[in-house]
Amino acid sequence: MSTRQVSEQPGLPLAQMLDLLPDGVVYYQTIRDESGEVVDFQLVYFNQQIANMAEGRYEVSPGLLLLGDNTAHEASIRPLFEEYKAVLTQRTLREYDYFDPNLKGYFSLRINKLNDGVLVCSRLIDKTASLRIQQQATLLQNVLNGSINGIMAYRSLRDEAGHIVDFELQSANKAAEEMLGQQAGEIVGKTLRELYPEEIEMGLFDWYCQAVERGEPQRTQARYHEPVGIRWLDLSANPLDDGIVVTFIDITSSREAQVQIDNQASLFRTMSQSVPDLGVLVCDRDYRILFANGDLPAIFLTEIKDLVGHMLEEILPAEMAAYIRQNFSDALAGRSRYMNEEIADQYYEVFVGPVNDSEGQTVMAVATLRNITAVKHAQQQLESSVNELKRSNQNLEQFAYVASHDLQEPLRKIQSFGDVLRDQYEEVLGDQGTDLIRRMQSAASRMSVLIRDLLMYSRIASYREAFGKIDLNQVLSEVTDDLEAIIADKKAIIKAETLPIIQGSALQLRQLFQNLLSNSLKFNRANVPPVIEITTQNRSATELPFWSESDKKASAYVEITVSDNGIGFDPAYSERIFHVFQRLHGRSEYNGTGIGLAIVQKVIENHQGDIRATAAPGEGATFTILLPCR
Amino acid sequence: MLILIADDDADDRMFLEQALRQSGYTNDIRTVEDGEDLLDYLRQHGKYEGQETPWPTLLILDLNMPRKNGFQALSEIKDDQRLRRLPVVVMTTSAADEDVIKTYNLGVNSFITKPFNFNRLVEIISALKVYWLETVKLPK
Repeated sequence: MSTRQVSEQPGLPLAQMLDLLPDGVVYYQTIRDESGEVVDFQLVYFNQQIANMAEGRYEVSPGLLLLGDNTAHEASIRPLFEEYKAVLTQRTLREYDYFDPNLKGYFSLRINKLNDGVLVCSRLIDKTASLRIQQQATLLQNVLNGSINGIMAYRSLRDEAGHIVDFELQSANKAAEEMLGQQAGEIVGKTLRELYPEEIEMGLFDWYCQAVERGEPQRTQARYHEPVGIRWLDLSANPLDDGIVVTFIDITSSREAQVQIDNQASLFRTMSQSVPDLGVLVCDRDYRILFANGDLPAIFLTEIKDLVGHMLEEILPAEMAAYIRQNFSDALAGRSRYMNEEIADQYYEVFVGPVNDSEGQTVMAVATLRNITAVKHAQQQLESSVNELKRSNQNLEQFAYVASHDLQEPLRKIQSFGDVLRDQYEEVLGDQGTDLIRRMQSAASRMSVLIRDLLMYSRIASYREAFGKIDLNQVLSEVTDDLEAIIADKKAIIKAETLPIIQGSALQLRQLFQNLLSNSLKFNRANVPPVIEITTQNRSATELPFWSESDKKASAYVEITVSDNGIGFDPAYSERIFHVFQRLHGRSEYNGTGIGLAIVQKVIENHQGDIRATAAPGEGATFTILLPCR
Repeated sequence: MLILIADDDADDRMFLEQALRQSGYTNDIRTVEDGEDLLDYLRQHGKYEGQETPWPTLLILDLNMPRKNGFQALSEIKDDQRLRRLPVVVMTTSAADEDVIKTYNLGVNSFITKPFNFNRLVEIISALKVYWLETVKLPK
């Protein structure tokens, strides 16, 4: 109204008058888009006071757009725009105090609709008060930014019915910026639904609403699924005016550490319970039981599940308590020890030692007890078996001596008496008598060979001499030397590849080759000179033949085959030929005691090897030997 | 000339005497039955005290004997200044290497394993006779 009066008085210097006012006066023209929506305001007029205030802070000149030319101050200008727009559309006057962050001052604002625009009058409020408020604001800002907690303030956005539909972020401190990886400038003014839609789903939105509606602070821990993994935040929401201040801290690492501690504790509990024959007892520095689990000896006065929390003296007979206390005392002093204990008729392997915290301080003592009663009993049984075996071996050695000497003696005499009889009483005996004596001598001779072979078998079966490096080529050459006569007699041919050097017993390996070669030489086909072929091949433990029962202790083996062109044998007997006294032929056809191959097998057993015989009647026999080599 | 046989086995003593005779040996043969008996003879102790015990040209010694075995007897003979020059041939059922080594270490002159038949024994005794009684020179 006054404007109209002034304009009706021509000649008055209106612009000068306005410039002399202590208040700032600005007139903005409304800018609309095609649909008539208000999108900006254009500066049409400003007085001198405005020019003074804005100098160096805001650019002011007619034609400037409020939003369009103040993008640098968007955060503080946007609320003003909204206010102007509200005044324009609601046609109401608005008066309020406004802090301009750019001018760092408080202003009393009065906004009027004028034509299709707004007239804004502003007056600086008391400068010192403004300054104090400003200092306080700076202080508060510093405090907020100095906090290690993230702090964000939201204003409630309500629908017409007054229900909260969203929250608008009003400010966020430095810690929040760092934790969220977003600048306050980017997010202030946006809503919760825009910024953190996941919080709706997580139930945090409802929880914020509750804090606002009830007017009570709330606190919770929330789990966020982020691309880099899970993040835990400890959140508290404090209602403030019609909004909330959310304070939060990242507790992911401590939460993870806690989970790890919980896992380890349950692992330890499970292990102490599930390891067979294991018991665990833990006490603190006051000898109070912290943990008791598993297979503990039956010495406690209460049940094992009730031990925790009790002092040693409360749960054990005095003597036992004193003994265990002494051991724990040593452990708490930093000493650990292993011992074997017999407790309540059971044998235990006991370890007692200190438990140190991360600083290296002994905070607990732990005792683990392994019940070894069964092992101990087995060990005792084994010891008595070994002693029995030793006795029986001694008997066997004695038998071997008796067999080698005393049993051979009478046979030698039968032979010699026979010789003397045939020499000196030939005429008296006649041809028939001489023949009977020859048969008697032949029987005695067979028995002598039998005793010799049996003795060799028992020696090889029971005797374990130290193994050495044995060159099998040398062994073979010694054996062929010994068999020279029969080789020459049968016109036999022996073809051998170069054999390896292995760990073994020279005596036994010699016996092995002697018996195998003798066997081949003995069982030749009528009128066919024996041909014996000896071949060798290296085998790793993984490529042993299917029939091998060797427990594959060695990593490398040597396979040696001895094959001949003799009479062979029925494959049905390929196992039985290794049994003692097993003979496939009548004595009139082939001599022998039936012990030779049994000795061969014993030698192979003693060398942790394996042997197999394959043959077909009339097509020769092949003996395949596996011996470990190192 | 005298051959002394030390053997506890009466059969073996008989075989040795028989073999010696068949080999053509005609001189004296004396027998003792164990190591004690042997040393008593050589030292004229015990039952040989005051008896005539001619010094043997050769001793044929068994190893496995009661009271004092062949090893002990051999050891004492070779330790005794007066007896050590006596040639000793061990004739035993043993063929064990350790017995061979042990007796040679004690100073035996020969080691023979008793053969398994009498005819072979005669051959061995004949060889002994040719070597010890007809070839080598022995101390008086």
